[in-house]
Amino acid sequence: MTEGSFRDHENIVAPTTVVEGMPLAAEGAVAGSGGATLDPLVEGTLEAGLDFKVRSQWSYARMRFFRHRLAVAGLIGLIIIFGAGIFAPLVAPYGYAQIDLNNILHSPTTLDHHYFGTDGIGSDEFSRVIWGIRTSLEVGVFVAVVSTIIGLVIGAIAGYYRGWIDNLLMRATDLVLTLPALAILLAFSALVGNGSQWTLSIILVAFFWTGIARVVRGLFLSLREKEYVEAAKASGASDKRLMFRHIIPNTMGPIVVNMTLAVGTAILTESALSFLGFGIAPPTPSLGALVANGQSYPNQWWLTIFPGLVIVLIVLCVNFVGDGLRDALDPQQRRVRA
Amino acid sequence: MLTYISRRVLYSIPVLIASTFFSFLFVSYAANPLIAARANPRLSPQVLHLLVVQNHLDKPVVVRYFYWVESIFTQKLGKSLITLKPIWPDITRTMAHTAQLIIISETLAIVLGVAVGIYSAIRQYSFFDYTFTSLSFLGFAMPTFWLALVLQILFVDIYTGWHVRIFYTSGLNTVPGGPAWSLDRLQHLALPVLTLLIISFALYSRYMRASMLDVINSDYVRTARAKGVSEWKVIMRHVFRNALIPITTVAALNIGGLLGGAIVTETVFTLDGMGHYFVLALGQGDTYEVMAYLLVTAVIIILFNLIADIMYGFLDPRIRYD
Repeated sequence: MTEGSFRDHENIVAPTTVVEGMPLAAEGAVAGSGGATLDPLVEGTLEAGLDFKVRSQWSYARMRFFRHRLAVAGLIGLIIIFGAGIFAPLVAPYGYAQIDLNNILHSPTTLDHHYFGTDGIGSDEFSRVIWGIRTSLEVGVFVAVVSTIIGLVIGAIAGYYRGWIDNLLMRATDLVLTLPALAILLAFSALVGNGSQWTLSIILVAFFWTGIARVVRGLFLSLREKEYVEAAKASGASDKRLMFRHIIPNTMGPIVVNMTLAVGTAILTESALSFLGFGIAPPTPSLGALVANGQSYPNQWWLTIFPGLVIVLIVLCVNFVGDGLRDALDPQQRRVRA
Repeated sequence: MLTYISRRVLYSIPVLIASTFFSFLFVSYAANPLIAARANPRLSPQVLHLLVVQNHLDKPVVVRYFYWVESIFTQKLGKSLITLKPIWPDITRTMAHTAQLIIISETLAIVLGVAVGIYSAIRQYSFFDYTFTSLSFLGFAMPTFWLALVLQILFVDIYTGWHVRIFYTSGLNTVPGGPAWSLDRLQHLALPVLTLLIISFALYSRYMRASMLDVINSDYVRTARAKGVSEWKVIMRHVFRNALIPITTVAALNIGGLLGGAIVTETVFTLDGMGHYFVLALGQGDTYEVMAYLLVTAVIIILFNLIADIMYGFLDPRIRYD
């Protein structure tokens, strides 16, 4: 936002805009929006000729995020790793299933670009890992986004309206929690899995949304009792307005954090299932399946270490970013980290 | 308290019935044991027919669920549909192995995690704290199966390189069916234990650190310090004991994750435990073996959740059950 652009003030819902230095006063004045009258404090500042900046909650969050060193490191790491995956056709020196029987089980070398060595049929491990990242990225992002949308809708309805849908949600998650997550997913994959990454993604979504729905439900339960929601209700706001203007914007922080962390969890789970042979099957590249392949070659350490190390790095970076977002999106924390 | 426990136990029963019912539906549709049976040349059509009739495979799934429930009580979980072996001895044997693995690794993980958590909290932002914080981040990001494989490769290499046998990398005993407590067994268990230990340790040390910091900043600790209680006594008497309360719950609720970790770890080290048994059964499509595993784990998890709830109330008198 540019300096002094307080004009769009009146259109912004209370807690999302804050004038630096006078956070609470500004919020209070805008709550009864409608009139074009200026906040007396802002007006006073202008009259006194003082320079001031209007910062949105998001710009505060951005500032806090970019001062979080680990989070920035994680973000850079993710950009590099996922970038390599997205541009796999350009980055990978060989195809995923390209066979070269003259060059089997070669240890890592810069010769012929076999940076991670070659496997039992002479395929270039580096290329396979790059293609595997692409699949992991697709699965992780798909699962995180779709399960967040489903979880958000169902959690919001359950937390806001309570009633049978809330009961159903809680009982369903109770059931899910009585079994080891991995066992359920394995049984599910044995039922409908066909080795395709999209089938596996849908299986993961079917499981992941319950966790996010519980989080959203909890947030809604506590937010709907807040005074400002009550005040909005008293001034005649509809259910739709209460939900979309007053509650959902305040749940965004935890939801974004959860969605980020879900990317990492989904990638870990996908690789575990593929490793056990119930996930993504060849010819679709997968990091978990690459590690499983490496298991057959205990003397060729590079076939196990590299694909696994990439999984560790991805999840580590995702967790750092998630942690940074958690700190950055916490609206109670106005202080920008030094 | 007693009414609370009995109400919780009563609530567990429909949950158990519903969760086994749904898993039975899934598993029955997922796995068709007849495919494996038909592929077996030693089974004549008559025997195959007998197999179908005896196991009610011609009946609808819902009806078969009730036959299965009946078999739990009358025939101790029944027989495998493929090998025709009784399930009960297999389940109890593998469960004992998994229990040994989990108990050893969890005990070590809790003791080490609590110790490191305490020290990290006392010396917050010290070198020690940063080191273990980074290590636990690494622990959270590591796939269990990969960690297991890395350890396996390391010790295979040590053996092939220097011909020194420190730990074995697969199986449970050098001679199958060896004694449950022996140096040989411990050498076999060491790597699976280490795998689960590292993963759990990351969890416990983080929770203990957070929990300690929570208590250290509370009012009664400040009061204790103001009264002139020695720092050691403050940490041991006031902080440590209260910080342990959430850890008991975390440990009890972690059982589901542990059983999942055991599936992977046992598969990597071909350890004859429940998780390995489950993966094999699932691969063969043996409905009853898979269901036996799911039933046993569901009972274990429900039991541990119950223990977590009761312990929490017992350890923290502020919690009231109504």
